[in-house]
Amino acid sequence: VATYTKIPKPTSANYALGYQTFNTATQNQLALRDAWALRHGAVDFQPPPANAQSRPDWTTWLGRHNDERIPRDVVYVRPRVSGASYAVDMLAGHHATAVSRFAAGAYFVRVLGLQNYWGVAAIAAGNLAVWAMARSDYPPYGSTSQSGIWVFTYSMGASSLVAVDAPFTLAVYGS
Amino acid sequence: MPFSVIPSKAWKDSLGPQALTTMSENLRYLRRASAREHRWSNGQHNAFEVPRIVGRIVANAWTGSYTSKFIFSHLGTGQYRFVFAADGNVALSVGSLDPSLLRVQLNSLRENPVPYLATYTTYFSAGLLYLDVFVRRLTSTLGVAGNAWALIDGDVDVAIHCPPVPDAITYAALPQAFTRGVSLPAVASNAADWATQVQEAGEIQRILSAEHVSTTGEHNVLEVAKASGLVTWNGTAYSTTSSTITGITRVSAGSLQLTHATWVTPTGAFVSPDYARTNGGSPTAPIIVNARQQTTGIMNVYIYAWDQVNLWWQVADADFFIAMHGG
Repeated sequence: VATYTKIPKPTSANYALGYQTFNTATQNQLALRDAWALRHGAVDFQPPPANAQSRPDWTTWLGRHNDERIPRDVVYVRPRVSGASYAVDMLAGHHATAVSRFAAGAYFVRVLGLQNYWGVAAIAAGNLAVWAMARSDYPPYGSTSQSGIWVFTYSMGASSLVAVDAPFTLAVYGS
Repeated sequence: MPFSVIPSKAWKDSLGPQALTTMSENLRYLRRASAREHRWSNGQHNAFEVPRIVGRIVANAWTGSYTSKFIFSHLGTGQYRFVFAADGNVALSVGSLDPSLLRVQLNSLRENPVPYLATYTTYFSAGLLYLDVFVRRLTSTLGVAGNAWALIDGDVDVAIHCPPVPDAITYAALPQAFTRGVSLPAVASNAADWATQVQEAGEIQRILSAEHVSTTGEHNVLEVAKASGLVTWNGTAYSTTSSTITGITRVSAGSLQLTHATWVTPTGAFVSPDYARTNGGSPTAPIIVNARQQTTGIMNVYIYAWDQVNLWWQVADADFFIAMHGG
C-alpha cells in the first residue's frame, strides 16, 4: 500500500529532479487515489442513462460518497391539500426520485440506483405529537412494484393512533 | 481522464515528458475527487446528504460538532431552539436558506422505560433561520390502554443537513504538458511546474486529512457514522450482516445491546424500524425504536409496538436500521 510522503517544494530553477523523488511523487498519487477511493466514487466518466427509467450510477461517480454509513440522499416530503384533493411534493434527490401519497399518512418514496436501502424519517411538524417510520419496500407492500421506501405518519390520539399527513425529512441510506 | 498508474523509475530512466504529463492529469483527477463533496478551503464535507452538524441535546445544552458561534437555547419543557443567524454560523452559511432545505435526523434517547419521540420545525423569520426540536414521552403505562404523550426535557441526537455552500476553489494552474527534449533544471518554467505538482498533491492530502484518516481514507469525523446496518429478528434471535456491528445481545423483549468499536463520546444514533423480513408481521405495524449509548462501545436499543387490538404500547422485538456516530 502506497503511503504519502511529503516532498520538499523546490525553491530554485536549478532543482535537480531525480528518479527517487519522482517515484515518491507517483507513490503519493497512488496513496491519494487509494484513500479517496475507499469511501468515494472513483469513476471519472459515465455514459448517460440509456433511457429515462434508469439513472446514472451515482454511487460510483468520482468524488461522491460511497459508503452505506453515509446517507445517499436526504429529501423533504411535503403533503398539501389542493381543493378537495391531496397532493404531495418533493424535490428529487440523487436516489429518492419521486413520492406518491397512497392514503392519509402513507407515502411511497421511489428509490433508484441502490440495491439495498433504508430510510430514517423525522417529522417536520414539531408542535404536533406525530411520528413517522420509514420502511424499505422489501418484500413489496401495497400497490406498487417499484423499489422504494414506505413512510407512515401517525398522530397520537388519546387512545388510538390516527394516520395523518405531515411533512418529513427522509434520509436514505444504502449501497 | 481516469487515473493512470505510473511505473516506478530506476536510475538513468527518463522522467519525462509523458510521465510528468500523466502526473498532471492524475492530479486533475484527484482534484475533482476531493472537490466534489468537500470544501477545497478546509476539507469539510460539503454535500446535502452528509450531515453538516451532528450532536446531542443533553441536559438542555448542546454537545457535538460546531459549538462555536452556535446559538442554542432551551425554550421550555421539551423544546429546544437552534438559531442560524446570517453570520452566526460560518460552518453552515444558511442565513437566508429556504427552511425546507434545512433537513434533520432525530433520535430520542430513552431515559425511562417508555417510548420517546422527537420532531422538529424549521422556519424563517426576521432574517433568521430557526430550527426547533421537540421531545415527547409516553405518559400512558405500557400494557394499559392509552396513548397519552407529553413534552419532556429529554436528550436527543440531532443531525442537520443543508445544501452545499459555495466555496472559493483556488486551484494552481497545472501544466498542460511537459515538453520533450528539455530537462527540468534547464527550463525554469518546468521547475515551477514541478513545484506546482508537489504543492497540489500536498493540498489534496490536506483536504483528505481534514475529516478522514489520511493513511487509509476512512472517515474520522462525528458527522459521518462509524457503524450502520440492518438488524433483523427471526423470532428467536437477532442478527445482522453489518461488518461494523460486531455483536448483538438481546437483554429482554424489545431491549438489546449492539457492540461496536470504541469511539470517543458523544456517540449517537439514528434509527428506524424496518419490515419484519424474517418473522412475518404486518408491514404497517406501528413501531418506535429508541437508541441510547451504554458505553463508548455499546449502543442500547429499545423497541415498542402499538397493540392495535388492546390499544396500548408494549415492548416488542422487531427489525430496524441504525446508523451510529462517534467522535
